Amino acid sequence: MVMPPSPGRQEAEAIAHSAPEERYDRVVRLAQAIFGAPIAALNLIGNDAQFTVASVGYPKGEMPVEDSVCQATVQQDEILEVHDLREDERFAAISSVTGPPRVRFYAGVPVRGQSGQNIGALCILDLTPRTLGRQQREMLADLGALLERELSVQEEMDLAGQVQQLMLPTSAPDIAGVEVAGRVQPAREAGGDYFDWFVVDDPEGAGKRLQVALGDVMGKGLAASLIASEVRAVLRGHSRYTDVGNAVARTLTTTRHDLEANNRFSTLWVGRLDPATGALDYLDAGHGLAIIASERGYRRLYQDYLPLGAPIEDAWDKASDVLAGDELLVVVSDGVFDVLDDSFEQVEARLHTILEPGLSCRQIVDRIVDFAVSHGATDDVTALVLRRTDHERRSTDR
Amino acid sequence: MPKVSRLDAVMESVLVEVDGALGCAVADLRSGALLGVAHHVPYFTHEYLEAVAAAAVEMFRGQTVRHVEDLISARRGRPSERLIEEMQMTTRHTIHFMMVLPNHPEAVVVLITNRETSLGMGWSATRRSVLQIEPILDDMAD
Amino acid sequence: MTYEEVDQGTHVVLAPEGKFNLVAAPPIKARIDDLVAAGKARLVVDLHAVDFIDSSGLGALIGGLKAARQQGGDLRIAAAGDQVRAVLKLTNLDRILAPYATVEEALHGW
Repeated sequence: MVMPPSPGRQEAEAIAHSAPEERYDRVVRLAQAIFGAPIAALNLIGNDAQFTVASVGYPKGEMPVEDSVCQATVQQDEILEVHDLREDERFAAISSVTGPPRVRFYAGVPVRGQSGQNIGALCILDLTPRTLGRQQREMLADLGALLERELSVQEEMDLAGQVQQLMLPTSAPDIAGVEVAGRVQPAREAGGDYFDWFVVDDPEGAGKRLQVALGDVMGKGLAASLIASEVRAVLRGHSRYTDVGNAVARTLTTTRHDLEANNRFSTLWVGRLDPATGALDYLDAGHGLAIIASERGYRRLYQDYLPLGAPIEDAWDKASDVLAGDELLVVVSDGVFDVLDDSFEQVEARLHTILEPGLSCRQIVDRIVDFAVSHGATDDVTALVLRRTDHERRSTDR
Repeated sequence: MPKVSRLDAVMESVLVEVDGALGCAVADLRSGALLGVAHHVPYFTHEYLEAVAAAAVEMFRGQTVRHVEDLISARRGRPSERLIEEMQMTTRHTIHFMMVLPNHPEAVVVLITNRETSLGMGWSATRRSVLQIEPILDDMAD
Repeated sequence: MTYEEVDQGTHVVLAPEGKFNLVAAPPIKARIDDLVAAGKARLVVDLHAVDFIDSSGLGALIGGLKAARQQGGDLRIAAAGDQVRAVLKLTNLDRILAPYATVEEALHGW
C-alpha cells in the first residue's frame, strides 16, 4: 500500500530519518501516564511505511503502512478512536490485532508538521476495548498540540542554523596568491561565532586586498546568531571604504545600540592582507586569539582594545605585521582555547599538528575544529586559516 | 527455564520498569496459589505474599462480591457473570494495582508500589504485563 | 550556580560558586539589578570560588558594572582565579574590571 504523495509524507520521511529526539519520548511518557495505557507511540507516516519514533510497550522502527492504524488518522483532522479494532473492518485484519500484541483499543490524534499537513499521530492502545470520555479526548488533543509546537520550534532552529551556515563564505575569494579556509561548529543549531572573508580595494588605491574576520558574540544559540549576522554584514559594508581600524570603529558606531540593548558584546579580529607582499594590517577588538605560526614558532597578533559593546569607547588604530611565504595565519574562537585550558603553552605544544607539510588550509581548519569538538567543547567552535601561495591560480577551498 | 520461573522473571521485569514498585505477583483466583512473584522488600515474606494473594481472591471472588455481581447480571437479564476487571487499593504506605487477565480470567496480576508511584504509570505497566504473562499461562494450560 | 550575599552596610559582597556560564549568569545579573534598584550600588563580586567563566559570565559582570555606575556606584571583582584572569586578559576586559587580589583591596575608598 502506498500513501498519496504529499509534502506531509516527505516531511515525515525526513524527520523519521534524522536523529531521535528526547522531546518525542517525553510526550509519549506523558500519554502513558495520563491514560494508563499499556502502549503509547508517536508514529510518522511516510510514503509506504509507518515509522515509530518514540514508544512505550511497542518496538521502535518501521512497519508497512497497510498494517498501521495511524495512516487513517493522518488522513483527517480529528481524533480517531476505535473502541474495538477487531470489530472495525478497516483494522480487524492488521497484524497487531490478529497477532501480538493483539490490541483492541486505539485512540490517536493527528500531528501537523511545518509542511502544514499531518505528518503522523500520537496514539495510545489498549489490550481491552475502551472508550475515552470527552475530557480524555481533550487531553489527548492537548498532548498533540504540545508536540506540534515542539516540532515547529525544532524545525525553526534547524532552519536558522542552515541559514547561518549558508551565509558563511564557501567559495574561494577572487584574489590571486592566497589560500583560505574556515569553519564554524556551533554548540546549538545556530550560534554567535562567525567568520568572513572578502576582497576589498586597498583604500589607498594600490590594488586588491583579502580581508578576513572572525568574531564571537557573547552567548549561544539563536539570539547570539542574530547579532553575529548583523555585525558581520555591517563590517562588510564599512570595510569597502576605509582601513581595518576605521572599519571596526564605524561598525561599532552602527551596531552599538543593538549590542547594548541586548546586553551583549562581540569580540572581533579583522585582518587585511596584501598577498603579493604579505603585508598584514589587523585590528583586534578583545579577541586575542590570532597567531602567525611556522616551523620557527608563533607570535600572537593582538591589541589592547575592548570587545564591541563594552562600556568604554576606544580609538581604534590598526596594527601591522608581515605574513611570510611559509607562515600560516590561524584565528580561532575561544571555544577552541577553552579546550586547551585557556593556555598558550598548550597551544604551542600542539602547533606541530597543524604545521605538517602538505596540509591544505581546509585540512588544518578541520583538524582544529574536530580536535575541539572531540575534546568536549561546549561552546561554539570556529577556526580560520590563511596562507600565501606562490602560484597565480586560485585555490578552491571551502 | 521452568514455567514458574518464567513468570517470576516477568514479575521482576515489571518491578524494574515501575518507579516505586515493591512487589508483583500473579495469583490463581480459584486456589489462591501464587503462580509467579518478585519483590524488592525484605519484609515481603512468602507468607505475606500468599496472604496478599488470598486477599485478592477474596476481593475479586469473595461471596459477597459474587452476590453483587449475580444481582446485577440478573437485573440485566444475563446469566451470572464475573464483572470486576480491575481494582486499585491505596493503603497507608502502598498502592495495589490488581487486574484480572483478560484472556485468563482464572488469574489476577497484582502490582504493589509505594505511595509515590504515578497512577497512570502503574496502570500502564500492569496492563502491559499481560502481554508477557498470558503466553506463559497459555503454555501452562497445554 | 549558588552564591552567597553579605550586606556590609556601605557595600554588598556577592560570592558565586562554580561555573559562571550561560546558565549561571542570568540569575546573578538579575540579583545585581535588584540590588542596584534598591539603592545598593556598591558591589564587590568575590570570585574565589568560581572555577570557570565564559562570555555570558563576563557579560553579567559588565552589565552589572554599567548598572552600578549609572546609579553612582561601582562593581569590583576580587580574588579571581587563573582561568578567570586569563579570560579577562584575553578580552582586555581587565581594563574595566580590574581584578583586585582580595575583597579588602576591592573595598578601597568605600
